[in-house]
Amino acid sequence: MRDTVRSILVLFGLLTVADVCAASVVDDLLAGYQGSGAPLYDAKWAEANWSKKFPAPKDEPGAERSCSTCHTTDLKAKGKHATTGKAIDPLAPSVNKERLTEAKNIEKWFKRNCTWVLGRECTPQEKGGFLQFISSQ
Amino acid sequence: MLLPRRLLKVSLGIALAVGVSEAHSANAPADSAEALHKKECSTCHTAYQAYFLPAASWEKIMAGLNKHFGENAELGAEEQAAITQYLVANAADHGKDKRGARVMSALSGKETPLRLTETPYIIKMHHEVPKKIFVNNPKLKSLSDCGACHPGAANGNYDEHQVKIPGTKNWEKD
Repeated sequence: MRDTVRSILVLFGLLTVADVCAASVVDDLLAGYQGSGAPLYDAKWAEANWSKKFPAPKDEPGAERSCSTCHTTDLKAKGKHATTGKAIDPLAPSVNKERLTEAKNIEKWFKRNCTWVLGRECTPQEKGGFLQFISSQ
Repeated sequence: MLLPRRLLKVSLGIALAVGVSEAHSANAPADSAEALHKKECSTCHTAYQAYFLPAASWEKIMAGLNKHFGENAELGAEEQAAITQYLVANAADHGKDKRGARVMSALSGKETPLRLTETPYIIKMHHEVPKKIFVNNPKLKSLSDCGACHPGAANGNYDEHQVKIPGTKNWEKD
């Protein structure tokens, strides 16, 4: 019995540590973006731009693109890769604990996905907004 | 009395050290190149086994990740080098898997195809599947998701008896 209680306590402790780690990854990134100059956009701005459509590049003609093309408008739901159709796990950390836990991974996907949707990388101000929006989900 | 207590301390210390190092390695395993390949490539499509393409094809693909079939799929320099090395070492013309030899013998000359689905071997292996199942099947977005029909694709199991085509009950009779 005592062992069970102890394991539950340890598990609870580990989960809390994981949550704190995720929070500090996001906070550290936001602090870094903040340090780059102009004030960051906020979660509201990001939400309003989540489904904003941008034309496909001329050398890759196709449908207009937005964040929600693949991630849908419900961040707690599964998404779908626009080209391959492969399922994408939910972005919202509240339903997917693995999200926003690794800075390198976050930057990798900002680079890839901003390039796909906008045809350029996002600015630190834009990334700050999207990061706050996603982490609030 | 003194000696056993010291012994106890030492053994406790060792036990702790072992425990800590085990916990550390369990939490942060250095991903093997094979695991890295699976993890990185499978985010968007099946992590195709290296034996499906010749080494020169993999080198070209991995050198052009910033424009990967219309998408930016760039990796960190370390990951890119490790995955390239893994793919080249296990490529159709380098690896030990017998399917690699078949891929190579179906290619004429020194072709370096970039799309698996356009290699003669893959086309030949799918010739029995009616085109209508691929073309007009809304559940099949693209052939790049091997796992959509081959449940064991991630582990290199493409056994035709296990094939299940979404939206089709019995594709051999339909």
